[in-house]
Amino acid sequence: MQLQPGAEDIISGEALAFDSRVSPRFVRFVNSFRPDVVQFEQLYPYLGFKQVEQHLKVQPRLVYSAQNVEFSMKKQVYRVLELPTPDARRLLEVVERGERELTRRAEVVAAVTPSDVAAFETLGARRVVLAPNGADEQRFRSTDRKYWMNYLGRRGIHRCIVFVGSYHAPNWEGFEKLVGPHLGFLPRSTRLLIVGAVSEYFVRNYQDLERCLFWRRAVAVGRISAKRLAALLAMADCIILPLVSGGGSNLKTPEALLSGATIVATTHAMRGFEKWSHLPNVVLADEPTAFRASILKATSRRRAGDRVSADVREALSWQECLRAFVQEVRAV
Amino acid sequence: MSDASRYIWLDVTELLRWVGPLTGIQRVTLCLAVHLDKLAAVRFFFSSHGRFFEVPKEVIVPSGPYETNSAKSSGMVSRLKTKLHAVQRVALWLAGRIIHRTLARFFEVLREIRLSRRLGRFRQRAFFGSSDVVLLTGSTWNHKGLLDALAIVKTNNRFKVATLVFDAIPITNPEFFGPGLPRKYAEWLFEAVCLSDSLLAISRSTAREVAAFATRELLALPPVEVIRLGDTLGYTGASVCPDPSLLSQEFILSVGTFEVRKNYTLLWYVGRLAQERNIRLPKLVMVGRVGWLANDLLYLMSRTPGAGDMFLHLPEADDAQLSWLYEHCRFLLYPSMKEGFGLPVAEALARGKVCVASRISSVEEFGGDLVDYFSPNDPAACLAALKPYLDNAALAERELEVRRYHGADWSQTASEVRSALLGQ
Repeated sequence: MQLQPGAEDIISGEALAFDSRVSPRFVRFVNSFRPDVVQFEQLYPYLGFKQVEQHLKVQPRLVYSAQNVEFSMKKQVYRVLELPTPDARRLLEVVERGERELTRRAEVVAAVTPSDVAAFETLGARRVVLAPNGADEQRFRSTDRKYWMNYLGRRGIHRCIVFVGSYHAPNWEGFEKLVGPHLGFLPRSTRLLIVGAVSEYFVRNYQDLERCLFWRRAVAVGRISAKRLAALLAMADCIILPLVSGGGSNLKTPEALLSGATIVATTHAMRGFEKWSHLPNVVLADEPTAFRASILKATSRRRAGDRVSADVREALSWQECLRAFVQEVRAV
Repeated sequence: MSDASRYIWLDVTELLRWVGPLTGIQRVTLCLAVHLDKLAAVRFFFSSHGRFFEVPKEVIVPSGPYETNSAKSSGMVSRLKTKLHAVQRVALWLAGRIIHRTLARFFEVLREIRLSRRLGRFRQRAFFGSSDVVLLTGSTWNHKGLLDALAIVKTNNRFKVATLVFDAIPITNPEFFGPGLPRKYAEWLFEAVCLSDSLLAISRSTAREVAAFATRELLALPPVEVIRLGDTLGYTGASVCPDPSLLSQEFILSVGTFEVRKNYTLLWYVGRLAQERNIRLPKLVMVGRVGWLANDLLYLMSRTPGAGDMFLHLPEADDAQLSWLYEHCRFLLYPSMKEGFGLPVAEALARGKVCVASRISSVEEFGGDLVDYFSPNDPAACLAALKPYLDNAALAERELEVRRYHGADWSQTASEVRSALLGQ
């Protein structure tokens, strides 16, 4: 497999069997304890593992813990990346073949949303269990809070909107569709804080005259520690979840739900968390005008110091979300 | 609330800081200062490091006739600065950015010393009351932090802000400006629209472009009033010939900063084309200081064989000289690519002069059928448009038609501004 955009994770997976530096170490490692059960947190390591398995003549039982239906998610990512069709088709074939095989072989498949459960059943999974994404309430230090107070104060920011994302095409695709590069609808003292590696996309692409005014109301914060992020989310007036594509469920959604801030989200971003959509601090908006209006409304009043109820906290905790899955894995 | 208790605070920061002959923007501020003072309760302020100070009226508004463009105002500092700028450019070439920065800092200090000597005596803070209107008419995109500082004060005092917008050309046509300015200008316009309670535009064309910009950026557009700029020079003294060679020959006049947007390049092609077709043109006199991206053209015009007979560039003409040039030119030729208004055309029409101008919407607004138009991209069309006026009879006939032109003096402009800001 050649290195090209969109192929990185396939290459990483296949490296377990084919890379001259990685493979011998991995083979030694597997051989050292010849596992009875192997759980794959993503599809990709399986692409290399199945070769190693044959080589070592081991036949462990498999568990597939899927965050997405990978091949359908990849299809969307390749479209956003505008990958040439033959390349995209070739990569998709590899992903789909591997995912079908792993799904059929796995004794348990964990899926994060009911629709993913249905998809894996269609692919021939023997047993699929719903294990939604969760989040644990992050504790942060007062210094983290003080850091953000200084940060916002220095820039004259009275209201802040937070957008957190990784460098993953659906993150910026959704943002561009629903919020866009023109932030003139935000008042002078309001800023959109872009947190995480997705900032790099905006820094790189929003410098031309057409889009540079984005930075009059946006700040690229970049990657920050979990504690600092928790402090920011706790102070945010509004958290936006503008996803319109991508598979699985959004890890940022439970974190936002736990923050108590007003959340402006698409229906897509709430996949897997539909039962929390009725919370008073959650606003659903699926088209640009409504999405922007909801952001504006959320920032037009000072954030109420809402604490998230204990029920919500418990239901969203990892322990609760993974309970059924853990039992299934134990049974294997 | 009566007008007497409502003040219009005019920002004169740029006027006080300016060194050398005034360009169009500062001329507008000065003319407005003089004429608004007769119609409304006007006070003046300058901003420095986020603070606002009142400037006594007598510093801005002269008691008698005034000049908007005095060569004397440039003074020794200006001449020294011009010379040192040349040194600065050579230094940049020779020794790179370290020397350049040192010299840039030197100029900054020079300017600050000059400014503090001039403004040091004004220490009275300007207080903008809740019923007052702060009027920004200068190139405030060059005054970093002004809008931010004003926004902070406005949050507490809740006065109104009005901004005069000359154009949106750096945004619609960034190619006419050096690197950096289009972004700086776009950022300024973005914040100015956001901060202002009303906007004044100098033409319908500018108003349309500002509205399009606001729509694109999703900004809430405040009311935009189009005001008509005056076309009279403030200068009322005797006119003075700026170059003895012009006393003995006819010439065609072009007025405007010598920069790429003003499209003097077209005049070079027109001159060449006329030579090729054996059409004898009067000398083309261009009045305006050197601005953006003009060096190549200056080089061409100075090196082309016979160019001395074809072209004359006057970079430092003052009001007396400009007045003489308008009076004595055969007609005005205005090849600009784009304008917010096109003040030289209005000034020439007001003096009964025939105008041959590029077809740009703002000029058509006030010039109508009294101006002969051509495409700014077509030297042959320009030559064809001006050629009839090489004939005396045709020129005289057109001059008769030009008399129908209804100009506007600055008191009318001031009156429109006053109405826009304070109501009738």
